[in-house]
Amino acid sequence: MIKNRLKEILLKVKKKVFTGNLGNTLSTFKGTGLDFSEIKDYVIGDDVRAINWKSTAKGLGVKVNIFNEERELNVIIAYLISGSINFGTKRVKQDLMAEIMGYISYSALKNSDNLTTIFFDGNLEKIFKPTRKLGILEDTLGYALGLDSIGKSVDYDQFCTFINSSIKKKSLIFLIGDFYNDINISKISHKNEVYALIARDRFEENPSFKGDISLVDPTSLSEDNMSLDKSSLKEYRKLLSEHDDKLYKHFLTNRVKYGKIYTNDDVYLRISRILKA
Amino acid sequence: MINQIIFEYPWAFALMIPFFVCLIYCKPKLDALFFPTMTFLKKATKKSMLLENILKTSIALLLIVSLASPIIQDEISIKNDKGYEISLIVDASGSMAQNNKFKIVKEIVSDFLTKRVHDKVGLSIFADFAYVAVPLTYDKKSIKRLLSRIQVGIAGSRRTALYEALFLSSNLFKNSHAKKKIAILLTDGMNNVNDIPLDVAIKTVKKYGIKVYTVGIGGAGDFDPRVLKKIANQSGGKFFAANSKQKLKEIYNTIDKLEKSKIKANKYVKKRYLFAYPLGLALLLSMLLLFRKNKELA
Repeated sequence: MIKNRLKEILLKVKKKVFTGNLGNTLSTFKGTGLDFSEIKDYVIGDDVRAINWKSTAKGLGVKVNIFNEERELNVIIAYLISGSINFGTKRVKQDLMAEIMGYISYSALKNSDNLTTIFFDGNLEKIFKPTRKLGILEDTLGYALGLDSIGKSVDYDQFCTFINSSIKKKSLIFLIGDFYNDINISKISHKNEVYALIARDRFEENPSFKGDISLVDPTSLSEDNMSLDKSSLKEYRKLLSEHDDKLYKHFLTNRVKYGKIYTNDDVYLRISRILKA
Repeated sequence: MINQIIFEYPWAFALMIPFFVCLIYCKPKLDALFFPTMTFLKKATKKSMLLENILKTSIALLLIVSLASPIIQDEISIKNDKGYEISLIVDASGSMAQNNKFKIVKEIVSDFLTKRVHDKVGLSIFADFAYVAVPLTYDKKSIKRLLSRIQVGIAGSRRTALYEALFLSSNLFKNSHAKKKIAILLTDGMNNVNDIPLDVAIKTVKKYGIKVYTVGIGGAGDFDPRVLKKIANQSGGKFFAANSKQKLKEIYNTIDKLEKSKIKANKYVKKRYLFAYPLGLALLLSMLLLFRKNKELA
């Protein structure tokens, strides 16, 4: 079941990324590296180590080698596991988040970027070491689709501490989660470039429950009987939008790019819009 | 005792224990569903859930209260053919005004009335002539009220119509079926009105089977102990003489004790059932709850 879904997502991702040409557009930076590009005249300030002695000896002035800079990006995808991702009407958010992860991973790998995939809840669940091999995608996707999220919740403080202590290089960090907890990611956002991809379901934002219903909190596993009417649902929507406003404000003040992706959205389109914004 | 709400079956309140236990432990088993944003939903439904719980709890409490059957024990009555009938005959002649006697007598008689809760009591006053102030009644309140308004001289102040008073108050018992008929005759003087002879008065007393307690107040010579003794002995009562407030009080206490009625057996309590009010309110609240539920589903 998971395998089928994994193949499905992989195919979708590959097709979309190929045709959509996401990534692959980075200009090559000139600089230090191993990839030889051309020879040019020496100007004051050029690195003397790069002087091409053979060309210089030919007598046409001092020449230096120019290389393509090894400008590999350090991409970190953080899949934030909380009990609440095990919910969805068309499909569960866990699946949606896996697909989002697939698109970003594949684009990064295709662009020969260094990809680190982290699964995090209260503490580190699983880390896939930095790699450039496409084969990692099957592992990470498989893990994302198969994980059990019930009873877990994200601790953003722990997450920031972990990122700061283990990732030294400036990185591109993609956070994938539903962001229902109180959040503070200012500790990582000033150093790295952070994107927050908010996975949501239409129904949870606008539930149409009626009357008595028993609901279980997937993080604390406490069960509550509640009776819902129009006014309390209205109040609920108000509380939720207040929470989201607070969330957006936090993202804006910390220069985090963010965007919501719903379970019934065209994921590829949404991601490219969020990243290009 | 009057107008106090008491519960007929107070043990019904024990039902509160299972109710509150159930409120916590017997929750309805509904189909449970994972829902991600429970914290927000809980906050949003807090008010309506509180209202609903208050409604439910108050309905249950009101039902329990109605089951406990609150009542007002309004009046305690005695069946007419049983119990005592007491006629109080009080001297209100001019001499009673001396030494504050009349006020003391009123006080003590009033006290005595309070003690005879279950008996029918009548009040007669005499001086120049005798009259019935209050016929035999259970209504102690009005007797007391009347007693407080009676002044010396209300029936004249020069003479003492003792025999007439005895005769007149005996006639109060004409239609009585009471087992025990008692008259308490209080005087501080001698009879000096000659419209009714002593023999006739005593005869009437005997005819109706009235026990007469006679109380003479004041010093020696103020009243005629021989006459009073005669009345008492002939009717099966007792004669007392009092020359102080304390003594008079004791006398009335003695009479009270001597003529203790066995009230319990003859008591019948008039109950007013009030369960309809909490029951009705509970019904109203249930309808409100039902209405709320229907509105939720609408």
